[in-house]
Amino acid sequence: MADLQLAISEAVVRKLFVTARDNFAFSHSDSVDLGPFTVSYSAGVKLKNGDIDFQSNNTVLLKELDIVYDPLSVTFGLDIPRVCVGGFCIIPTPFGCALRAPRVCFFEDDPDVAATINLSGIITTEISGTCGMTLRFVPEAGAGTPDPWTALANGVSNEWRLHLVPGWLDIDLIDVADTVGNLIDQLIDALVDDVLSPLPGWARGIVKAILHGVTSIIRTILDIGDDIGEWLSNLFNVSLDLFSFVVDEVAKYFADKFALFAFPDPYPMLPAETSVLGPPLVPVLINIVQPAITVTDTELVLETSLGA
Amino acid sequence: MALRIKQSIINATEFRSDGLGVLASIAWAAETVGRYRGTVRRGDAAVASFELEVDKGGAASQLDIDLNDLAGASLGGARAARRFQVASAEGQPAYVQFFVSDGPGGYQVVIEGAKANFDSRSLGPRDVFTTVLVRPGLYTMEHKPSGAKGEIAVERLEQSEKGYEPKAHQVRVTARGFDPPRLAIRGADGVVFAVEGGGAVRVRLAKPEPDEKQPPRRRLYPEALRIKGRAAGETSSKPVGKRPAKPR
Repeated sequence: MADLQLAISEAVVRKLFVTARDNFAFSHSDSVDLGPFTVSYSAGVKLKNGDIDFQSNNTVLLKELDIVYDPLSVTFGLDIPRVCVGGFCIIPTPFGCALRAPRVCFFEDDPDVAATINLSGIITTEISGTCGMTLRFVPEAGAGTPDPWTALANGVSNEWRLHLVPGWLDIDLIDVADTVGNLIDQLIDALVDDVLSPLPGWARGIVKAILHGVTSIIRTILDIGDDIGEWLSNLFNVSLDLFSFVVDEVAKYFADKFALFAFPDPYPMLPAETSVLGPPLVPVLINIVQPAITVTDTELVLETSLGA
Repeated sequence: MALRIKQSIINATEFRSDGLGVLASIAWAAETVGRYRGTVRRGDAAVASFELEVDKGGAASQLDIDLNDLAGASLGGARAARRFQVASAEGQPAYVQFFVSDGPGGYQVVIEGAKANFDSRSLGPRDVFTTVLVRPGLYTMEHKPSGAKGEIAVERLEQSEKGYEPKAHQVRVTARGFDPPRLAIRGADGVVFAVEGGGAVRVRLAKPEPDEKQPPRRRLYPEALRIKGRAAGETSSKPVGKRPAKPR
């Protein structure tokens, strides 16, 4: 039988969760070569909204925790097809073309172009899942001090830390803002104008006409179908693996980095006291032995034995 | 960004069969099997040479030779003459087509063989001179030595015209002149001259269509370009720039 039993209400743990959520932030950048084009991105990730819900089976439900990608800038680089004139038939015959004009190209090589678009706040994903609660003992916290009283006085006692440990997490794409369609058009314009800007107006007209519709070509290269939201989701989810990366980071954050709360071991049952009659009294420290956590529908219960 | 636009294409306004440059080509109809020796000249100087073998009955009946490439290789120190092969199909001549992919151009080609010769300065009856006119405006075409003249109006190809397939327009050049003497084409179309009476053809941009208004240049460092507002006492003994003379 435990010597000590401590209950924390679900409401209090919710507030602790909000603190943990608001302290989460990381940035990440990566690039990937997807054959016809390259993509590099730089993302800042934060958490918003979401809630936890205690379950009767010793688990905690993590509900609709929003991932905010802000800032999020994505740079696309691609080779657009060569822009050449000529190639038409000079001497047609009943059996085909006997002589064809040589092709002469406007550019030395395939034009490689790059343009960056700002997708900050455009994508909304959310995480849901099931978590357990665990207490972790951190023994090294008091290392280097002569005794537990000094460690406590210096704020470096050994600690028990309560972590929310995700069992499984799902990430869902909730929304891609409608404005993304305009952004993709802007991207394509930027890519094309980047290539053609040195040309005089008449030459730009020829090049764009020869390219058989630059927009459709770039859309083909980038493999953008009718649903831009789906394309963007696949890009980040499958090609760039950003969503999985975020899920891992969130899981590691709650499981390893940010404790919902912590308490020292040995625990100061009675605080230090000053005495006018004699020397000051040191705090009374009690060892925490085999603490255990239980989650019920309404509260979190901590039970432990106390040692000398 | 590794991107270089061939300015020679943008700036090309004259196309000559006797001085080949970008966006122009000459096809020699090689009707006799044999070995030939070719020389590429620019003005009085021979800038490259090559060997050509014309066979009978092969798959490749068209050979394209880039004179800019050939001259560049010679300048780069390549001493051995480049060798080319082409084969004529049944009942058809082999076509050896000379063109210029980049650079200032002005090339002439002379081919000498035991049974046939070719000189780009005076085309033969089955030879073909082709130009691709990309810049909108009014061009004049002229045949030498007859002095016959004609006009080509090139219409601007708009950016919105997606997927335009350039066309080839045929022009016969006879002793009586150009047939048709005037034609209207669109940017990037080709004009194919069949020079039946020999000689040379020149096409020149006589009246370019004014280009669309370019956006004003952004001045990044206005203070560096400032001429007015010079500090008091500061003098300059040299004029800045050259002011065009006023017409009288």
